Amino acid sequence: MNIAVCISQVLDTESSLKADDSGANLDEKGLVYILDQTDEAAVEEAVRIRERLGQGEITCIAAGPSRCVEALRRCLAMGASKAVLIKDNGAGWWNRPTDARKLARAIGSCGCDLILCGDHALDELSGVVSAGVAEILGHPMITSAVRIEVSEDQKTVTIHRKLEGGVREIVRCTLPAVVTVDVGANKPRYPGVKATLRSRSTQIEEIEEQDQGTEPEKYLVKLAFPRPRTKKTFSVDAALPADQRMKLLLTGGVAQRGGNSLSGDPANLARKFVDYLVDEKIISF
Amino acid sequence: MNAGMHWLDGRMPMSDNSLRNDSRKDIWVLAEHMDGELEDVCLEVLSEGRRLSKLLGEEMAVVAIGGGTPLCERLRDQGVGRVYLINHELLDCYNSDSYTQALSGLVAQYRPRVLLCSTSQVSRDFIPRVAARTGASLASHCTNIRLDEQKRLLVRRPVFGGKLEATVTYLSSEPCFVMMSRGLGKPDEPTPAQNMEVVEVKAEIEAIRIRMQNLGRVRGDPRTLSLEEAEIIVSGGKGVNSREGFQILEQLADCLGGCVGASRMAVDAGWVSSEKQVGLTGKTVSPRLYVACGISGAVHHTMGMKDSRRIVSINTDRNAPLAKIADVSIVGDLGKVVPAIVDELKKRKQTAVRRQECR
Repeated sequence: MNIAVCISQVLDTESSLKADDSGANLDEKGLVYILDQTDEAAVEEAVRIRERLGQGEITCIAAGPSRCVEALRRCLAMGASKAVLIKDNGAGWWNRPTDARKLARAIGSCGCDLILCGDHALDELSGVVSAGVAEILGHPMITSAVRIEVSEDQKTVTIHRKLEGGVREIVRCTLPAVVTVDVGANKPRYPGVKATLRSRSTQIEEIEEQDQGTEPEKYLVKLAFPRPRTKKTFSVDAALPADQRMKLLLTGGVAQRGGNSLSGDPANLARKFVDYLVDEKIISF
Repeated sequence: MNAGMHWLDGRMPMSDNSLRNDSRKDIWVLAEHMDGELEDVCLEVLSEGRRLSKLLGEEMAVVAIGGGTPLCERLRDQGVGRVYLINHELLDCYNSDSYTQALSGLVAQYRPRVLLCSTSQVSRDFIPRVAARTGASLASHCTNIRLDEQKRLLVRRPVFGGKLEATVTYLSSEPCFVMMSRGLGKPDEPTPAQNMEVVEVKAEIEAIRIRMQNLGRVRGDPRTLSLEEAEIIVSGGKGVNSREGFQILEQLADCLGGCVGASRMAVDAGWVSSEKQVGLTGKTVSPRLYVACGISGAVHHTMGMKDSRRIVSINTDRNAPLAKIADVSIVGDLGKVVPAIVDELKKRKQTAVRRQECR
């Protein structure tokens, strides 16, 4: 089983971000880059699939400037077999449709059965890369996977994908396919010292890409700081008397539901609690 | 069609001008619907579509995949003048392959100026594929759409985890897909349309290109859900006293099929991890049942859970603020009451199972 994982190195959003003088890019000073969280989940998922199958090769591919090598080393330390960097000049974090082409070419040449990407829910590029890769290679794509099960014959994959409200949709798909992994699908392993040291000596294949985005300029981007996010809090009506205002402030203006107060021995309370839940149709037996 | 090979040369598939039927500059809205009713989030997008249509002086039309007459009636009430109704037996149930084929065909045929939809889990699954296939630009999680002096689209969206906002100007003449964020404000009041044109489109879907099968929906394992998705939350506060103390809460959550949450006190004390924090600086939740154990209910906590349908408080202090806002206030030591509840639940489940077996 050959698994390819498309990864990207992104800005650590915990670092301080500022737009530079042109307003179109970020100020390069003091930027910290890390392996994208959703891509980390994708790598973890690939490693788990290989562990379950007992065999397979995992190739991690990134398209970007030389600093992306750090992110690829992390993938190797987590258990990837190979790492490939498609070098570009790092211009334009917005120019991802071109990335899709480069990634697709690299993947196309390694004959993969399963291609994983991070779901990029919070990424700036809206799933453009994974969809682009799927379209170029002519593969089906399934997004927001929280569980991936490869069949015994390795010809199909059954996926639980995330829908709203805690609901999961089950989809079965033939391989080869592109699957994007939700950030909550797993808890990525933290590679130990031995694995990290080993990854430092593994050769990372570097591809120089001629295609630097020959499309006409499609977008102009300007960056700005958003207005601070406000969260609604309660403010008291000044016309009320002081003691009522205090009471309201203490409870945050939340309506008093005037619920039943129960006391007694624990077993009795437990019975009444369970009865309440059954009456309210919250649980049933 | 050999869409794949064209891409590798740098040419976009399906952007051959000869396919353009007429140079419509429509604004399309994708109808997100279930059982003949429009989803709430779709009403917001329709409102945005109407606004944009006025700004651009172009017509708004709606694309409905797998819809029928009841849906068209709803759309007429929403003031929609034209509906493209795409139907096919392979579109009865959502399937990424068939929906992508159907919508791509329509977009390639009519080349609308803009396609609006929400950033729902279904849209996010197939709209990017349609954009890739038809050469359209795509932006998701958008919070604002404006026009510049040349009437080009300016789309604003959060980037880098919301720390910055990017305003993107779309320069090309290709269709632009804009996926809107939810909660953009109350939709305006539409005037029902006088006349509505329904264009019935028979989708051209190659069955052989459908490589996936939808096997149904299930509720996620509560242990893997995030707090915002949970229907039942068992939450612990200062009264839990220790990390081990949270174990009985986890047992209760397991029995009820719910998730564990916590107040800020418990998180700061290191008894539980921070993603479980409910409150002003934590998560805002609205489950069907919120069981607060040993939580006094200071404002910053209640702000995060006040919209729960049913609140139960377990606290030794009968005058705690949370006890006052609860539907049921159990005055007692959670260390004794919670295990008793777990026992009672297990007992009743066993009785029910035995009753089933006797039948």
